[in-house]
Amino acid sequence: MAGFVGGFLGLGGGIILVPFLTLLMGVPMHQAVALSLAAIMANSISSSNEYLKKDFVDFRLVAPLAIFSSIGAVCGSSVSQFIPAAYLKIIFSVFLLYTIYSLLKKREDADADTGSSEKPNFPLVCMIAILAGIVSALTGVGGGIIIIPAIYLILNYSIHIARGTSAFTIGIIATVGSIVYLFQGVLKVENVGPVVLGMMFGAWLGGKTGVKAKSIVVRLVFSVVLFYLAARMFYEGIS
Amino acid sequence: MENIARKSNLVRLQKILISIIIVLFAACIVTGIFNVQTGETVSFLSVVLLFLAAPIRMIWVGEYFRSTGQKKYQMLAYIVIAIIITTALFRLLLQNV
Repeated sequence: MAGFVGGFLGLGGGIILVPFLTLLMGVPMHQAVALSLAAIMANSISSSNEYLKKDFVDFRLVAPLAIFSSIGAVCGSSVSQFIPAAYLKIIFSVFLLYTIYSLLKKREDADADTGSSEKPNFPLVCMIAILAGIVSALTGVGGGIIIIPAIYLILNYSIHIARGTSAFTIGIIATVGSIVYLFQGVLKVENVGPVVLGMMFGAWLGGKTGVKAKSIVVRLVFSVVLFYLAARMFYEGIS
Repeated sequence: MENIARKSNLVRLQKILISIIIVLFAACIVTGIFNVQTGETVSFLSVVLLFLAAPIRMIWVGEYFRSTGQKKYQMLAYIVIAIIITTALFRLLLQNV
């Protein structure tokens, strides 16, 4: 299920996998996050293949997003103890609601399959990546949740390119985090197999369905996921 | 079209990676039933391959930009690989200290 949703939207799937592992399977939080990162690596290889076949990945965005979001994540985790998480979560939930509004608003080229043929604005891509890393570290949400709307709304790519590029990039970003967890002994190697196998199948199916889906369907499903996240963040913020 | 043709090599590469990872993980589950230690060894191998997938893909991206003459993006791809390798080596070093 997590693989399918992740593959369909170009996300990692951690938004479903982590609550499932912690709440239903009783896996400790840090182990669930480590397993989720390993699953995201598998998801990325599996789902991005479908997007690559349709030429929905812009490689010019991959490396800057991977590098600068990692830098952002380091900055975010360094300042996280000085910023009250509750306020941040409430502000972020409001920001997510605005993102939903922007995603659902009709754009002239919203259904186009192609990306921008011009060179992407490099400083802007770096800024988006740093911001995505900071927000990700401060709020605990995955990078894809921020990267996809940013590529679509700010860089003016189609939603398909945004998903494809995100699907390819999240696996690269997750690798660095997974290495840290592996050496810390948090990532239990013996538990990885079943999660990865299920994730790969789901992501393949999600990617296959996702490349055929209309832009409006994708944006609607993405908005539902964002709304769920906004509601969760708001609840966590006020409680 | 040329772009897609080039990228199809990456699709093939990723398909090979997916196939090997699936076979290894399936093997680790099966062998784990009969011998836990062998199962764990195979599982570790599959995880290592999963980790190697990212640098392998980034090497392809770097080569892709080299062939299209986009040096800046080629360098960025190699920086990503360097970050992954440095993180792994740094953690390995910390573990042995």
